[in-house]
Amino acid sequence: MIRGGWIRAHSGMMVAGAVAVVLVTGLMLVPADASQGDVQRLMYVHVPAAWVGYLAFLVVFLASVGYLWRRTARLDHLAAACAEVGVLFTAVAIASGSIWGKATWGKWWDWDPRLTTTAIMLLAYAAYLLLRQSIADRRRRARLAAVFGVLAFVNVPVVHFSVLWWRSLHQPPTILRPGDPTIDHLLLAQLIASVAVFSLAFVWLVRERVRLERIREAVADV
Amino acid sequence: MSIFREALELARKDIVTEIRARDALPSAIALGATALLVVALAIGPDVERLRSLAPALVGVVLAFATITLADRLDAVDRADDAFVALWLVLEDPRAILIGRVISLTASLFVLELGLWVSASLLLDVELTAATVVLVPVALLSSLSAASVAALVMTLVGTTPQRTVLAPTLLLPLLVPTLLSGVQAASAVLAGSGPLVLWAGVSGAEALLFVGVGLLTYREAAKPA
Amino acid sequence: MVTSPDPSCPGQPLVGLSGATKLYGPTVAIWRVDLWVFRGDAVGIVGGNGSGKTTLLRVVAGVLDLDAGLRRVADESALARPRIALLGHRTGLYGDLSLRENLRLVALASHSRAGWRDEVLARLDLHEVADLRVSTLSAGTRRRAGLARALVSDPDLLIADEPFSSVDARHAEAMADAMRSWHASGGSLLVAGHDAATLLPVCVRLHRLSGGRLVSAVDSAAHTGRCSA
Repeated sequence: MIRGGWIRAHSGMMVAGAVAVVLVTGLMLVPADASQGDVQRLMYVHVPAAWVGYLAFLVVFLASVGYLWRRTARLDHLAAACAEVGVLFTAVAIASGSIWGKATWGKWWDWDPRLTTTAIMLLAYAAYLLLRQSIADRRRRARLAAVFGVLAFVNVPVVHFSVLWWRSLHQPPTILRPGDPTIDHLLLAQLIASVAVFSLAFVWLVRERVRLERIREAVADV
Repeated sequence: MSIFREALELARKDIVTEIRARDALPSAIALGATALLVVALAIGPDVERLRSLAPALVGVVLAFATITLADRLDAVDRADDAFVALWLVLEDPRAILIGRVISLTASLFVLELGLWVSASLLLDVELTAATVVLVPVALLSSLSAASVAALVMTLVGTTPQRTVLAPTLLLPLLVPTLLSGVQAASAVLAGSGPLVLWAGVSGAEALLFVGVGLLTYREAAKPA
Repeated sequence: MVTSPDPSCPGQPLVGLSGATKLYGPTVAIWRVDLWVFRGDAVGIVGGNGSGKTTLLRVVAGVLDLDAGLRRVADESALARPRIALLGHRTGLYGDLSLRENLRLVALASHSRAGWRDEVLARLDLHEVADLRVSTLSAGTRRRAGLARALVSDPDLLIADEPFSSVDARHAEAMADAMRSWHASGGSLLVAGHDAATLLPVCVRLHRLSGGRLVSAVDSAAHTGRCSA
C-alpha cells in the first residue's frame, strides 16, 4: 500500500511526469489540426499556461483580500507564491502566443488587444513582485502588497473584455462559444488534459513556494 | 460630511503649495509642450498625420505627467513628516486620499487643457465650438488618472526605490485610463465615434479606483 | 483590567506597551518594554543616542509596528481612540505654508476649539513669525512651531522627541512652560531626551532607556505632587 508520506515526497516527480506526458502527447502524438497544421499544437501549451496565469492572479486577489481582512501571514505567502507562478506562466503564454502568431499571422507581435493586455497584466504583476522586494518589514510588505494585489486585479476584467472593446485579429473564443465546440473531440480531450495537468503543476509549485517562504521566515526569526 | 470639508481643505493646501513652489505643474506643462514639438519634428511635417496622432501624444504626456505630479505632491507630504502629523489627528484619514484625488485631478486637468492648446498650435488640431466637449473628457480622464495615481503613490511613497517603483506600478494600471482618454478625445476631434462609451469607461475607472482606494486606504497609508 | 503600576498616578490608562520589541535586522531597537501612560500623566524617557527613544515614542504613537509584544489603547473602540500628537525629529509642518496656515489646517483636521490656536501662538511666542513661510524660519523656531502644531491638535497625549534640541534657553523655557500648563489642564505627556535635567521640569516620572531596555525609573518620587489625575 502506498502511504501519503511517499506521495508527498515524490509529488514533484509525479507532477513533472504528468507535464511531460501531456507535452509529448500534445506536441507529438495527437493528430495535427487540419487547417493550421502542426503549429496548432502550441495550443496545448498556450491555453493551459494562460489559464494558469489567470487562475494565479485570481488567487493573488482573493488571498490579498483575505490578508487585509484576517492578517494571516499564510495568505500573504499564498499571494506572493501565486504572483510568482502567475508571472512565469503568463510569460510562457505570451511567448507561445507570439510564436503561434508568427506562424498564423506572419508577425511575432501583432498588437492584438488580448495579447497586449495580457502583457500589460504581466507587467502589473511583475511590478507587484518588485514592490514586495522593495519593502523589508514583513508586515508592511504584506499589507502594501495586498492592496496592490487588489488594484492589479482590477486590470484583469479589462484584459478579459478587451476582445469586445477593440477590433481584434485574435481568434474568437472557440471552446466557450455557446453550442457545440468547433474543434475535434480528440483535440479537445488533449486540451482538457493539458489544462488539468498545468493546473496540477500550478498547485504543486504554489504549495512548495509557500512552504519555502514559511521556512525562510522561520529562519529569519531565529 | 466633515471628511469632504477636510478633503477640500487638504486639496487647497496641495494647490497653494504647488502655486508657491511653482515646481511640478509649470515644468510638466513646459515639458509636455516640448514633447509635442519634439515628436512632431521626429514624425515630419505631415499635418494630417500629426493631427490624427494628437490625442495619443496628449495621452502619453499626461500619463507621464501623472507620475511626476503625484510623486511631487506625495514628497511634499513626507518631507517633514506632515503626513504622519495629519494621519494621527484626522478622525478619518481617508480625507487625505480624497483631497489628493481632488488636487491631482485639478492639476492634471489644467495640464491637459494646456496640452490641447499646445496641440492646436503645434499639431494643427482645430479647436472649435464642437470640440468644447474635450473639456469634460479631459476632466474625466484627469479624474481617472488621479484616482489611480493617488493610491499607488501612497503605496510606494515610503519605499527607498520610489522613483523606479512609481512608474513601474502606475503605468500598467494607467493603461485603461490612457486608452479611454485617447479614444474619447479622438471621437471628439473626428466628430464621430463611441464617445459616450469611452467617457463611461473613464468614469467607471475613476469610480472603481476611488472605491478600492476608500476601502483600502487605511492599510495602504498607515505609517507603521 | 489594567492597573497603574505607579500609585502616584491614579489616572485612567491611555496607551501602553507590554513586551514591546522592535528590531531593525539584527539590531535591537527596543526589547520587551512594558510602559503605560495614563490620563494626566507626564512621563519622561531618558537615554543616550541610539538607546531606542525615537523607536519607543513612534511605537507608542502607533506609527511603527512591533515585531513582538503589544501596543494597547485603553478603550479599544474606534470612537474613543485617543488622539495622539507626535513631535518627532521633524516638525510635521508644510514648508511652503505659513505657520498660521499650517495651524489652521491642523485645527480643522482635529476639530480643536476656536481660539486655541491664538493661545498656543502666544504661549510659544510665535505671533511675530506666524505669517512667515515655515521654510524661512530658523531651526529653533521651527522646533517651537512643531510644538505649536502638536498642541493645536488638542491631543489626549502629546509625544515629543527631544523637543528642546536646537532651541535657545529662553525659548526652551517657553516651550517647557507651554507643556507644563497644557499638562496642568489635564493633557498627558510622553517626552524623551538625553538627560534628566531637561525633562524634570515637564515630567512627573522618568524612566531610563538603555540599549532598547527600559531599565529603571528615575527620581519619580520627587515629582509625584504634580500628577494631575
